[in-house]
Amino acid sequence: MRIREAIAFVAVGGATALSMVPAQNAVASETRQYAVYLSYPAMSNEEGDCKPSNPDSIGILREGLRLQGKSSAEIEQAVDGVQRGDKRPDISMRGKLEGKTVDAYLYPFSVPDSQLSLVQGHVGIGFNLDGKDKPEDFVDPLTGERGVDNQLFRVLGCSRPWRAKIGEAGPYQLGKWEQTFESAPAWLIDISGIDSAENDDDVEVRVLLAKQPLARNALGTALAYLTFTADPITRTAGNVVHGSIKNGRLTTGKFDFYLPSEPQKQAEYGLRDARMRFEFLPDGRLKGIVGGYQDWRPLYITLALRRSVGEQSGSYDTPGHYYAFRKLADAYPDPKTGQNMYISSAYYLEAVPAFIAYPEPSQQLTRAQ
Amino acid sequence: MTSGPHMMSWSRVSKRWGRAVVFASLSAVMAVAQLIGPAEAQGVGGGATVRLLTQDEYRNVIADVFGTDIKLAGRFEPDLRVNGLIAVGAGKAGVTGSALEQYDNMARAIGSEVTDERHRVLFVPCAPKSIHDPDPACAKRFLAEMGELLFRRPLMDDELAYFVDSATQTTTHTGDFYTGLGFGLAGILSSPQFLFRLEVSEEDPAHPGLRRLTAYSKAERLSFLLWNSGPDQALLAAAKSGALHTKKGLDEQVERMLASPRLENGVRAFFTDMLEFDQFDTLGKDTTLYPNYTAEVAEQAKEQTLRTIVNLLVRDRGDYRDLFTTRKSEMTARLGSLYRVPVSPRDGVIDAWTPYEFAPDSGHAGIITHASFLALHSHPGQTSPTIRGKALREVFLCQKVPDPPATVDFSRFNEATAARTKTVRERLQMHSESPVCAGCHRITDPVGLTLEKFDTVGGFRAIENGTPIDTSGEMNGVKYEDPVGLGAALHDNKSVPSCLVSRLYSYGVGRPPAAEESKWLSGELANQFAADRYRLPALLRRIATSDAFYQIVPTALSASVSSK
Repeated sequence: MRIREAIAFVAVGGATALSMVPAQNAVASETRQYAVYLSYPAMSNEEGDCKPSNPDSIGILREGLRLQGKSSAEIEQAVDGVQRGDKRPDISMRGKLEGKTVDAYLYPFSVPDSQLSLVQGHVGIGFNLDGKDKPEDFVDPLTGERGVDNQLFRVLGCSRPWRAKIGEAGPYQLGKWEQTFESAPAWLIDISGIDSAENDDDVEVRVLLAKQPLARNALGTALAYLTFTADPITRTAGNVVHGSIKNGRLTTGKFDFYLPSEPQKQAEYGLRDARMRFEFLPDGRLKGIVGGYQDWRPLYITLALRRSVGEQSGSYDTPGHYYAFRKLADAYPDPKTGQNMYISSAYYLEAVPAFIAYPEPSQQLTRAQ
Repeated sequence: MTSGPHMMSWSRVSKRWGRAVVFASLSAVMAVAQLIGPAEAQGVGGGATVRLLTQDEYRNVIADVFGTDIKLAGRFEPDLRVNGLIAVGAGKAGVTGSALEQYDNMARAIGSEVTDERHRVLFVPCAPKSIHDPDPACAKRFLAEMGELLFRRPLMDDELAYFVDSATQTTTHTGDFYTGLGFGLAGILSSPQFLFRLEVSEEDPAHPGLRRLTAYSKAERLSFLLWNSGPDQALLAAAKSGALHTKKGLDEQVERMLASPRLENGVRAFFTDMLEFDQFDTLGKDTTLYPNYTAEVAEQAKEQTLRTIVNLLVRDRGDYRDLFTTRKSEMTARLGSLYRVPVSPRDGVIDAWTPYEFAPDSGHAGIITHASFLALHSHPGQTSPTIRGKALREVFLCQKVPDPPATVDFSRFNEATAARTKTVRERLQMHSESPVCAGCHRITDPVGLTLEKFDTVGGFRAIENGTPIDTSGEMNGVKYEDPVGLGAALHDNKSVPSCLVSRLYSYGVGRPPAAEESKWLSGELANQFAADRYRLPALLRRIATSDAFYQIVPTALSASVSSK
């Protein structure tokens, strides 16, 4: 049995104390709170799962120059220059639209589909979001669940920034979090009503945004047991879901997950029909997965905003990903065109223990208005 | 080693006091012996001292005279701690050649910054006839004003003439009046008269046969006791007029200084010294085991205890003994991560301080349960009840716990060889098997073991290697079950306030109390402290207005020196 508790920091005699105010006659249950220090697309790449390999940055450059109408000699001359350390030619203006040259990042459909390689195989992390076991679905090696929907893995898993084995993050992912570690507001997870961390048929999970960023400890990783102030923005108010714990693994029901983020990482994380699962680690940390259907357009925009940096340093073909998203999107079709606008996804979440200070109700009301 | 005008003032002092004053370990004994002369009568008091400014004193004087935006571009040598206090060690500290070079660098940088275009309008009270030529009259005016604040007395004529001449020569050489002025100021700042607190005594007309500090030395001792800085202009004026030698004049100055916000600086400085917080500069922790212990957290741990002290003793005029029982403190969210307690970030800033009261069941009560005390007196990766017990007895009870004999085999007690034991208490039990160890460990361990529920950095823990931690203990016949009980036992221990009285007086005079002083401190002054309900400002007032604090008794000098 779980009991919802209203938790708020209230001033008591000039001091600050954690006050737990039961909404009804409460029995003692535990609340565990966390701050997320890392989240990245859940990959499960294996040897040989991308055939043929996608072009590297030089291959992308060659194709870009070709689309710009350069001759073979000009292309090779430019490539030689880049390999000698010359500035890389700008290939952003390689699209053609109604006879005009346009920015291929902003108008990805202005260049032909480069037919990016997509991940083959059936080992994938995530959740069976639609309750079906389809040919394109995965089996989750961590839970054994069949029919796992994670087409985002197929789209990103053949490109260098994301490609990673189970439990690992691609190099690009770690870098994104490093860039915003001490500047972007932290993500918080509040799990309440825990009667047993091993087996409990009903707990409540909230995911919300902090007003403060993470801070670093002496090892350069996230400082644990820091107190964060919850930011009561209305769009995160729906991030509340019930779940249960079986044999130490917490799994939630479905809900719509939304968190704003940094454009450096991803403008926002909005997952429909989302589910989460977590494990409480012995060192106090929380590790788990959130999966759901995600609008692929903001995802593409995140890639496009990196412009030539993504193609040069990340070695990924930006417009090529646009076509891959369109092809593998698997939910929520546009009523007019029939094009699926959402793609099944899964992200790892890693979090350290933290404390969450909730604004008093009056402050929440003010913000909501 | 630098040379030139700045060093000349050292040479002049050297000629006056002997070479030992300049570069060798500066012996307070030699200098004082020349200043105080023979005594004809005895009373409560002690020797005058020659004390090197501590790092904090140097910083405070510069900030008070020139403002906090003047940067100190140099490195201080570590302060010397003697008899539990840096204030006492300062009387035995010398200046090495490299330290002198650092002082000279800082002096030049300060001199240059104070006279730059941005600051000169604030400090230079006159304008030169030409900025390219010497103007001895203007230089004299500036250097006399600054010199009085920095030497804590007016400059003597030959001193002032020397610094003005230095400024004049530099202006002639560089063609810039303010460069010369800055150089003259640097000369003052690298002089022994600035770097050392040179106490001078004179015959006491009210007590024939006795000597007292001169009015300027009196002002200096008083100011550093209450404000941890040099005298301000009002105090110097009281010294100049002789008012400081009258009861009324002294009382007025003491009351003025006790009412000043700068009293907090003085109280912080004393407790920083008494609690040995300077050792945080070299304190390291095993960051793999305790990653939350960062430089910021260490600084905030110190600050938390100092804020607790200032709040209780100065702002609330509270009972000193309550420092060992109070759960009231201040906290930041970052520091809260060390204690693993929720602290709502004030204004959303994790390093902002906010009032905080430890929960009754937190185990934290009193400053001995603060991270500052617990972390400072622990090994990098594990606790040490012996070190904590020793520190508690030495710092708060003024007891001296001997160092371990050189023949002790420590391998018997470390975790690897004592693997059959689960807790530190069990390992330390082995001490009782050794008569060589048992004597001292009976004093330290029962106290330190009570703090075992706090890990190396001050975080709370209930078990060690799966075994519940037993925190019961006993001190001087008083038994208790936990740190809260230990704090209560300290609160009621008569040695605790007596120790403070002795420490504070010793801090003020810069030496261990002489024999007669010790009797007075443990008797009359300790009783007055109790009658004043253990209020620190009242104790400061008693000391600052006492005859003993300013009385120079040469025979006591030898007593204090022999107590080294």
